[in-house]
Amino acid sequence: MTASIPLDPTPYKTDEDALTQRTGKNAAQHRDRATVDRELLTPMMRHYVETKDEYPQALLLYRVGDFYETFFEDACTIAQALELMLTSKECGKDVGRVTMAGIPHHALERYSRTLVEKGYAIAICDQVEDPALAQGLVKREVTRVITPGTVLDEGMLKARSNNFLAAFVLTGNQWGLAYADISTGEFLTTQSSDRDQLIQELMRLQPSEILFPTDAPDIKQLLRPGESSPLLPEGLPNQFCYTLRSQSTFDLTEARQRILELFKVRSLEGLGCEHLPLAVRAAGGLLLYLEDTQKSTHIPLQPLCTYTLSEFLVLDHQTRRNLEITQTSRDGTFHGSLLWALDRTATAMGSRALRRWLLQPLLDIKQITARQDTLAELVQNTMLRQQIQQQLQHIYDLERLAGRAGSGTANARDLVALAESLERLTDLAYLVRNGESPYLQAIQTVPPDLDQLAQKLRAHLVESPPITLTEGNLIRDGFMTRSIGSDSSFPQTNTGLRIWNEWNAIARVFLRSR
Amino acid sequence: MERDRTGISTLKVGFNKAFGYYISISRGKSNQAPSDYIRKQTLTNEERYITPDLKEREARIMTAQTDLFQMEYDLFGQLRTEVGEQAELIRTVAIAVAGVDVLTGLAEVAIYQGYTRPTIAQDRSITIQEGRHPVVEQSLPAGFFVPNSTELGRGEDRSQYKQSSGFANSIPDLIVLTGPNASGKSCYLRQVGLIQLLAQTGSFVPAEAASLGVCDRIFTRVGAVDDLATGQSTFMVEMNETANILNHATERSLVLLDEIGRGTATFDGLAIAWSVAEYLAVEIKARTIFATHYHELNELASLVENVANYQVVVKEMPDRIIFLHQVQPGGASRSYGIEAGRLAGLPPLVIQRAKQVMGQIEKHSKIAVGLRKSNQPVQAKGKPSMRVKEESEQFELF
Repeated sequence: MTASIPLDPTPYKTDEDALTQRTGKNAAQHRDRATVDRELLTPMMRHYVETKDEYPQALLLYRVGDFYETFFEDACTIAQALELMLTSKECGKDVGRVTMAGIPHHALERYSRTLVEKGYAIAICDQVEDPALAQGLVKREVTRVITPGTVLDEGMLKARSNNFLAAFVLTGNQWGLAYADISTGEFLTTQSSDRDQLIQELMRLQPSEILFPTDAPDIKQLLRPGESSPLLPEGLPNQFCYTLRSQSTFDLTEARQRILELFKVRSLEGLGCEHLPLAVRAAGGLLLYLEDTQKSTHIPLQPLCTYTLSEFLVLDHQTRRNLEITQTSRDGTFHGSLLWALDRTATAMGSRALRRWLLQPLLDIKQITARQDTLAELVQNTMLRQQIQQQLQHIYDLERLAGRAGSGTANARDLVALAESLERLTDLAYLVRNGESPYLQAIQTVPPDLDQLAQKLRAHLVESPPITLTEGNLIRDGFMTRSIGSDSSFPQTNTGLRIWNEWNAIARVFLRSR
Repeated sequence: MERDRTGISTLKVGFNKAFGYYISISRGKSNQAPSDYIRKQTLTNEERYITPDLKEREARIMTAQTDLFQMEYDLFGQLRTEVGEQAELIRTVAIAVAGVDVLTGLAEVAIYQGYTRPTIAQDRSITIQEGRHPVVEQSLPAGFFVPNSTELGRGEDRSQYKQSSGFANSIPDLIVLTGPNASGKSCYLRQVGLIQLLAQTGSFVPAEAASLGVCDRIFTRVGAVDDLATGQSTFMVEMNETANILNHATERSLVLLDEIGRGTATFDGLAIAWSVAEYLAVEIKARTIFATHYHELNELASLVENVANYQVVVKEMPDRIIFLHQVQPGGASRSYGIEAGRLAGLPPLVIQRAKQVMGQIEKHSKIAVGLRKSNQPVQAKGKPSMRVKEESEQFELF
């Protein structure tokens, strides 16, 4: 990397030809960042290459003007994956042209979704200062890393199924497995000693991304579905997306500390994993990965839940496939599966729960009876059942709405939807007030905190706010003046008044005679 | 003031995104506009102007507005944080609501599809009266699905009261299910598995009545799908899965096997099918339904106590067979393969010859007879002797 490496004139014979044809005289001379002399790059490109070095496992989308650009090998990858035009850019007088492919900034979400669905991780490098004010090179930073298992954008998630991120630690045949859906907050861990069971758990969860520690030097690697690697422990199916992490990120002491701090508990006893070191390590490794990818975004998770495989009826992958529980065995469609035949749920949360239930039937007769009793009550009481369903129709995806609020990505419409849903909980509680079965009794009271929260949201937020948060029309007028009057923490105390005055002035000046 | 100054009564102030606040004067009066008005836009009916004073005021409004937006945003941020702090509580409630949602949905299904509440027992019983396949019945017109009953699971704890009701010894652990292809064997197999699974999910089940003991594991080995992705042969996949079942099943498991041994030569296959069935019934005592087209397996029932024969019956017409999809006690006498071939349009000569060959095979088949003579249903000793006999058969045939 110290000296310019002379370019092999035809390193990729056919590719190069095609490229030359498409880009004509501006053919790229570099398609691999390892082959350029960094000293000779333009300042921006040098920054690009340095940033890329920190995220070798991800496609780096680098904001330049109105585009997110990719260069070198990433450009070739996204040009192919997204069917974009591969072009080139002059990146220094003595360097020449390097491959480049870009997407317009307004299409970022759409293209990101496609890339993540194809099993790529992406790092988004934004301009973090106003280009108009910048002295010299605009400051840029990676603001988000999106990997298949750490998707938060609503548009990139399927409403009726979970998006799991899993992490496992394997020593001999002993293993620990933790998994989380960061959009709904579920966070579970387990430990066992039969490697086949680990595979069965992964097959049940169908995680979008699986983390595991490895000693290999090239650890910042991501195996896309279908890619095989000698680093993948024997027997693990290669149909998933795997992210290789260093052993140190799964350190037991740090993992324990991280969990204790996150859930503000003094021991792991209460979480049930005090004596399950592999389960703890897996969970800790997963948490660290979230920190690494989410940057400043805080991801709210439910308290870690330790489960054992022996709580549930064992269904191996073949059986789930043969019994066609979530998809048909012939062509893998949802239509024709057991879930398809049984899913009459009104909410996305219910639909995800039904999927979970069918994939993990119970063994404990008490638990089974609790469900049966509730079902019997609902079957008998037609009025109640129909009224419950009516209320449920109006309840939005509380799990994911709460997650977006916690991570600071919710917009005003989300909060209005949340308030509406919380209000419905009160109606629902009233409906089932005479319910005798366990599941109905569980929703007979709404925690007062949530009731108050709903009222507060309703009082503050206008009925149908815009999606954008920076153009006003979010907060009710009445509440604005009240909060202005009562809360001195707002320096612009008289803003509303000032606008009002200016308007009057205009009207006075121009329309006096009215 | 401006109206007074200009004397234009139609003077108005408007706002648009392109150039902010403007003064609009109707076309008719536009020639009266004062000289300090700067024309910005001409429309069909009006002219639009700005003035320095207006722009100055506009700037003040804009800053004030920006401040206001910022204030709203800050206030919103505070609300959002408050919600975020309650995320755990919201989600805890959400999970409870989701549970009610699932059960309300299942109640709907139970009513519209006529499900019944199964009795969940600690024993090993699987008793299903007039059970149905929950998915297949929904894709057929109402009333078309043929329900079938199932009785599996012999147990000491049950024997007494069953004895009094008169059919204690008829409850098998293993059912050998025979019947022609496409007669509904696989559907029946899956139906039993799904009913057990639904019951342990807490759902009602598609049946007239059901009493089900809790199962620790459901195993299935259905159909012969080539695993092209891993390059394994059908037979190896089948054997791997079968090995897994035999190594892990317990007497509390439900095992559903379809066409074990089909992936290899006839006699190999039959030998393996036989010994697998025998092992499941004698050694493991798992509740098992063993669907097969080897009707020779029906002999197992006469050798092993907890094995029973069932068949999917068909109605034989002079020129065709009608699938009734009914499961009844008893073994199928023949597999109707030749009949199926004829229906598929194999040349008459081929059919005729097939019947001849079939006759020869049946005449010389001594498989079961041989095993019965050896009088040792224990698989380890039974197998080799069976092999020898088969091989000699093969020589006789060809």
